[in-house]
Amino acid sequence: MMQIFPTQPQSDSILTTLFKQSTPHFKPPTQVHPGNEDGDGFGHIAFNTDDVYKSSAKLLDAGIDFKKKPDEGRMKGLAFAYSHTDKYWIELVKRGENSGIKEEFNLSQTMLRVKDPVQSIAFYESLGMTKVYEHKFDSFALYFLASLPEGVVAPPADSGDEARTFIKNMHSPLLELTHNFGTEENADFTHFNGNEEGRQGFGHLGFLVDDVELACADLVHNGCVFKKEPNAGTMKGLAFVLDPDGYSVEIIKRGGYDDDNAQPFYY
Amino acid sequence: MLRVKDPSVTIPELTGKYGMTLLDRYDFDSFSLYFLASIRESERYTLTPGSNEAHRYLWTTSGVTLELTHNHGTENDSSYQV
Repeated sequence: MMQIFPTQPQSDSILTTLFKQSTPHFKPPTQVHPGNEDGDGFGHIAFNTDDVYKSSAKLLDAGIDFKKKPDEGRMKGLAFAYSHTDKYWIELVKRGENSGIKEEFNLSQTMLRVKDPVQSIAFYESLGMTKVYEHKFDSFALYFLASLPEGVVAPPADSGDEARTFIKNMHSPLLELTHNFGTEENADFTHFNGNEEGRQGFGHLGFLVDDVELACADLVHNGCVFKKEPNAGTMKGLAFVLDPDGYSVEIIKRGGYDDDNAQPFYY
Repeated sequence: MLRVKDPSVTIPELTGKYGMTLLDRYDFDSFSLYFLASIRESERYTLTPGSNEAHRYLWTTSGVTLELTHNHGTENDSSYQV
């Protein structure tokens, strides 16, 4: 079985340098946009911690600004800090009671808004992810996806507390998809994907795969659109595909070299 | 991947306040890339960001990393909106 792991970042590098050189229409970003304005797709990253109140107090003492302190608003115990300078939202979430995680924080989520979760979940499942938790509210639903190591079996995503406990105890980050009900029925609805002029903050997700050609062939079969096909441009074997909302998803060879005859670029 | 205006602010923030570890970096003419992760204490990271060993670790990890892109010069541009 092809192993695929998500790597929010794991991208660009030498490969993108050449990609940019070979892509005449590429425009370098001119500003950082943290998201969460009207129409933005990217929402935030999150860290889990045992005690959101205690961790928030510490961050406040250290000069971190907050959009929402844990005792504010209706969602008690949940906080949003701002990153310095760029003002990205950093959510602080209480982790499970018996996680066994000793560190104060672990990166736990990247949140993207999606128009139609049926399509989005199918896309990320085709990249080896598993839906591990879903939670429906009155006007929106949250879906959490993970690249689980082989042999790890998650409880059913709709099992409520059992699934919730499973994700709250995880150390590895999840992809959180937010669906605001009704967007899927509006033919004209789109999110900004973070790469438009003036909206450039979030850039892409990245997946390491053992076989880029094979992974891309599967994606083509499923009707995916490429921003850069694996054999286009100077760097072979590196692809950027667009997910159903138009978010960029990088497909890159595990080990980091571009084809069978290439030297791994870490040498 | 998230773009950042000034990595000299953001990286100490993520490592110092949120306990992340800088795993690796790449420096190009016009931009730099930084890769960070939440590493367990038991997996203490000793490689030097930017070294071949760090690159090898990065591109073979089974974990998830946060990539930051810094377009050089933005940190000095007061009109650069965030």
